[in-house]
Order: sequence, then C-alpha cells, then structure tokens
Amino acid sequence: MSEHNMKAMTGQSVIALDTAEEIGKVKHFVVSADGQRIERLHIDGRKKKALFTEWGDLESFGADRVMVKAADATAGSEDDRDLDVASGDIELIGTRVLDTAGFEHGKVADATFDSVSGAIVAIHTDSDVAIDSGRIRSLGSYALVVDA
Amino acid sequence: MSDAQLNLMRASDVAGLPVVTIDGGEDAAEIKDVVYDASQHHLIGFTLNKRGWFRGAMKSTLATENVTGIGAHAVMVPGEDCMIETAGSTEALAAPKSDHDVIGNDVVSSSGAVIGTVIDVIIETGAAPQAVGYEVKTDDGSVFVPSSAQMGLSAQNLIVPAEAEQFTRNDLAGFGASVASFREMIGGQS
Repeated sequence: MSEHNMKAMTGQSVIALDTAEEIGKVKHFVVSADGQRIERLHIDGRKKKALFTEWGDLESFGADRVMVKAADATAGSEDDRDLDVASGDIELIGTRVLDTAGFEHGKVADATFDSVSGAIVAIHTDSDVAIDSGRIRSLGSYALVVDA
Repeated sequence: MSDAQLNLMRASDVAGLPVVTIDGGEDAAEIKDVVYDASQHHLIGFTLNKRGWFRGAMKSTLATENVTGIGAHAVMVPGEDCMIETAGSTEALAAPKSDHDVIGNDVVSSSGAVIGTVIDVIIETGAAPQAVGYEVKTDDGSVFVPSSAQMGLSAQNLIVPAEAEQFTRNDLAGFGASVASFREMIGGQS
C-alpha cells in the first residue's frame, strides 16, 4: 500500500504513457457516495465539458506525476455525481464533518488514500483529528457523515 | 442521585435544523416545526421545509421513530425515504389536534401555586429522541420541569405532580441529570 494525501496531489500533472503528453491536471477526486474510495479523477474542463479518467486507467500515482495508460483514456460523463464533483458541489476537502448523532466536527482538511487501490484510508479534520475510513458513512453535497 | 446525564435541547432550537441523510450526506429538508402531543407528553415528529433557493413547506413529514439522532447541528435520518408524504403520515402528524398544544399554558403546582407559563418543550437528543419536560417562564426567569404521565393538562393549565416538583431546575445542563434521576424514581415506584 502506498499512501498519498489528497490535498498535495490536487493540481498534479496527469501524463499519458503512450504519448508522454500532459493531458490535464488533477482538479477533483470523484469519491464514491459511501466515501470509501476514489472512483475517477476530474482532470480537465468544467461542468458538462468536464473530462474524467477512471481509476482503473491509471498506471501509477507517483510523487510528482500521475501516469495514465493512454491519452485517450479520458471521457466526459453524464453522471450527476461526476458533474457535481466537477462543479465543486461535492468536494471532500473542505466539506463539513457531521456525525450520525447530528454534531459537527469541523471540516475536512485533507484525506489519505491508497494510491494503488484508490481506497480512502482516513480523513483529517481542520482541528487535526484523524478519522479512520471505517467510520465514514457517506459523502454528499452537504457533509461527510461519520459514525458518532 | 443518578450520575446519568442526558443531552437536551429546546424544541424551538430544533426548528431550522437541516435534515441530513446518513446514506447520502445530503441536506434533504429543514425542520419547520415540532409536532408534539401534550396530552401524552409525546414527541410525534416534525413538519418540514425545503432547503435551498426554493424554500417553502414540503408535503412530507418526518416521524420521530424515523430519526436516527438530533444534534446541535442537524437532525439525522437513514435516508430520504424516511420522510413520508403527508397524505401517508399518521393522522397525529399530518393533522395535529389543537388540544395537543401546551405553549402558553399556566403551570400550576399540586399545592395550587402558579409556577409560570410554558414557553418551550424540552427534547432529549440522541438515538431515541423524546420529550422530557417543559421550559416555564417565571417572574424571575425560567425553570425546567420534567414531564410525566401524572401531569394533568387542560386547555389552560398544566399541573405538576408533587413528586416532580423537587426535580425542577433553573438551568438546562442541570436539568439533564435531574430528568435521569426523576426517571429512576418513577421506575422505582412502578
């Protein structure tokens, strides 16, 4: 397992292995509704012109560059969640942390993920508290919900 | 004296809280009003407002048994399907009876003294929310009185039984422990 922090990887160049060209930058991470894994990356464009790369099309998530298998491994999406992420309506970093009892615990300052599987390992709040992914219940436009 | 401490909120503070889904992290609604049956001292549920730009009353309601938790920042529900169209709600929730209201009633002790006027209902938050007492406006401020099945209620008066009077407190934090002690005493009597 190789762990990376989401905040540091945002803005990273995405390079295609077959052309060696930069095809975009990591703009957003599309995290699953259950908050457990990264499903794809938003790498270019805005709103309905947004382009995504599936996690399975990534070759490696290095310290300096994100490598994609092929330059054509990007596509638009009509999925509401993808578009909400691309427009910033659903954004893990900065969202409020709300527990199942209805109490807030600050905002998400960063998240650690496994760069091989895309699994979210933990989130870190702006009050410097780490919350293991086992406590995450969902990520939506209003909050990251965690077990109380 | 019990060591238990309950987390309490005024019902009026619940109004305006977002209703957030645990399975989606979405603010699906906003609490418009608390529906309370004073004759049974029972929290029935909530009427709802829409969130966002298109605010206004929703056609759905939320029954207390469908609530997972009430906190200082949100009312938590498992999912959006917990909010039920008013037409499918229980009658008590869809069309609360006027005699279920208690705000404004005089609170009278069993010895005949008027303590004050009911200004709010106090709710125990957490996984099984329920009404546990009343906030009563007095000449000197306000006090909190535990509710019990022995309380008499009319359109004008709420009678506090003698056994509840000693558990009256003048601060909400202290009232949490007091309610727990009151319950212990009632349980011991039954």
